[in-house]
Parts: sequence; C-alpha cells; structure tokens
Amino acid sequence: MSKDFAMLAINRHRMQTDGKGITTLVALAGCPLSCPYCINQDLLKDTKLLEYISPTDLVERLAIDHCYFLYTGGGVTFGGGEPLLQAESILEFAKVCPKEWNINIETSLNVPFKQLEPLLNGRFSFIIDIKAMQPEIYKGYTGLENTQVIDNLREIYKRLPKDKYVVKVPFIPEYSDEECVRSSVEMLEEIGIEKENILTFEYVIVH
Amino acid sequence: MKKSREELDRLHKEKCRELKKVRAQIAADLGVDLKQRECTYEGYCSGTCPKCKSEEMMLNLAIMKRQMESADMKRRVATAGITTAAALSLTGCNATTTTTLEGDVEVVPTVEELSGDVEILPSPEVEDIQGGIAYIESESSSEEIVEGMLVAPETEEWELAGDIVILEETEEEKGNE
Repeated sequence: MSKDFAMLAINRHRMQTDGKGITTLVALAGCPLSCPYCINQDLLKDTKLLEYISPTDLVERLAIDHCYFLYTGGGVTFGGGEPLLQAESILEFAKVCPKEWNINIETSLNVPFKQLEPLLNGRFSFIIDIKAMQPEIYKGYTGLENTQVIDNLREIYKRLPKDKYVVKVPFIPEYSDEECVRSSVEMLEEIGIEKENILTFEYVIVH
Repeated sequence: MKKSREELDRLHKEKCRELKKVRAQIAADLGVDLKQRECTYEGYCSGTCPKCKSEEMMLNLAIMKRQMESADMKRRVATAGITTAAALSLTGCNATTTTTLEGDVEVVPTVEELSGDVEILPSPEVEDIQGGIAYIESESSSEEIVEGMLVAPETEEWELAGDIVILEETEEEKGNE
C-alpha cells in the first residue's frame, strides 16, 4: 500500500491554535464522521484540491518553517479530515522529519484501535475533539456511535503521559448545552482524565 | 460571518509583524543580520512574501551550518580518543551506529535520518565512513569535490577519509526529476 498522503491543504504560521509554538497544519482527506458544523466540510468534498504527496516530499515542503519549529517548540499538526485514517503515512513522516519537530494529531478518535495503536509511542501529541460523551448526542451530531472513541480514549489515558494529549469538549449549538458539556467533562474524569487535560470551548458557526 | 478581505488583510499583516519579531529573535541567537526593514507594502497581504521567505531561508541555512559545526566538533572530540563511547551522537541527528572499529565509530546515516536538516537531499547510502560531516557542493554529475579531494560517484566505494557525505543535487539531476 502506498504511504503517500492524500492531502487537502497546508496552512502555515498558526499560532497557539494547534499546540505549542508556531505550527503548520496539514489537512488530510477522508473522515468517517458527517458533522454539520465541520469547518472543513467544503474542503473535504472538493476532490479537485486533493494532492498525493510522499512523507519525504512533505517534509521538504514544510521545512521552510524549520526555524520557527525549532525555536518556538512548534511543529506539524495533522488534521483534516481524520488524520488517523492515514496513520501509516504519519508514521513514515515521523521517521524522516527532524526529531525537533513536534507532531500533533487533531483527531476525533473514531477509528479502529489498530489505526491508533502504532502512534501511541510517545512521538505524537493528540488534540482530541470528543464532540460529546453522551452516545445519543454524539450520534445525532456525527452520524456514528462513540463506543470506539471511548475505548481509544481509555488506551490513550493508559499509555500516554499527561503532556501528550488534551481532550476538547465543545459546546455544539442546537446539539448540546452547558449541562451536556459539564456531564461530558464528568464522564471524562471518571475514566481518569484530569481536569487540566480537558478543555471546553464553543463551536463558532460560520455562515 | 466569514471574514471580509479587509479583515483578513489586517489579520495577515498582524501575523506578519509577529513572525518578523520571532525571526529577529532567532537571528539574534544565530548571529545573523537579516537586514530587516519596515514593510511599506500597501496592497492586500497574504501573511507572507518573498522578503519574509528569504529571511526564513537565511535562518534555516544558519541553523544547518551551526548544527554541522557542532557535529564536526563532536567528531573531532571522538576521534581524538577523548571518549571511548560506542555510540557517537551527532547533535540533532538520528544517526545509526554500526560496528566499532578500533575505538572509532562508524556512523551510517541516511540523509533522511539527519535531524535538523532543512533540505532532504538525495544521497546514496554511505558506507565505511568514519567521522564527521562534510558539506559538498557538486558542480557536475560526474564529480564531487570534498575539501580538495576528488571522488568519483561511479565507484561503489566512497573513498573518503573521516567524512560523512551530504550531497546536493546537481542542476542536471534536478532536471531529471
């Protein structure tokens, strides 16, 4: 199987949105969810934008920002889309990129565990958008069950140190409310995830 | 509401100013003079431009130079027999050690494994090399010159003493891609 990325876009010079320092977001194609407020909904549907690029070529393309990554503790964030669908390519990328680059993965975690497991080696940090812990709210918003998400979360909690992940709980207009968000946070804490690793925020709908 | 062109322009200019400050700090640490000047461009700003890009490239080059100098220093220390450690760890490099030969260390990295390099340079696997790093600029596809020594790339053995080779693509090779 080719390890080339199916990539939608590269967004440089991001500050304090995808982890520490100055980062570059690499938006990857493909996602199992169907979220109505997906910020990249149009991007995900536009196959004309799709570009296939090898991990080595991607490193070369991103290397222009090496000085920022090195000096600000930044690096590359894979998002999309669901980047864990291209876990093999991400692993290959990590082998060929400078080790000083932090690699973040922005994910919903709604993938089979075998896609996630190879990336639980401490090289990657995870920014997890959990949507909601309540199954009915989750399914209403994404179209899928969240059983796998919760299982994957438990594995991340077991295997990764606290500084390697953050769980984001959004307030989703028309789908959840403050009480739902509070309840999701409690359910995360019951798994063992600590408050400092949980971030609540609000989806801003762009018309 | 989607951002207007004016708002995007303002945000991009703001981002550019922040990045410029960061570059100035990096340049100060590296001892590089970027010759920064105030941007007088009045048109729509996308957040970056050829001037910004040239500063980034200068900084990346300075970083690469510093890491190579640091690695070379480590090589000198190692081959001077001051350390008998089995592994030579080049600063910022993910070099793989092979065998130990009379106290010297054979390091056989592929270019992709060298951390901190800005460019991923095409390079053959380098075998039987001892020591540090030399940067080579090749002037033709048939010859590479390393500090006065001529090395023929057609031969399977790279007859270099004490250097790991990083090759730069020739214009011909670039054209063949």
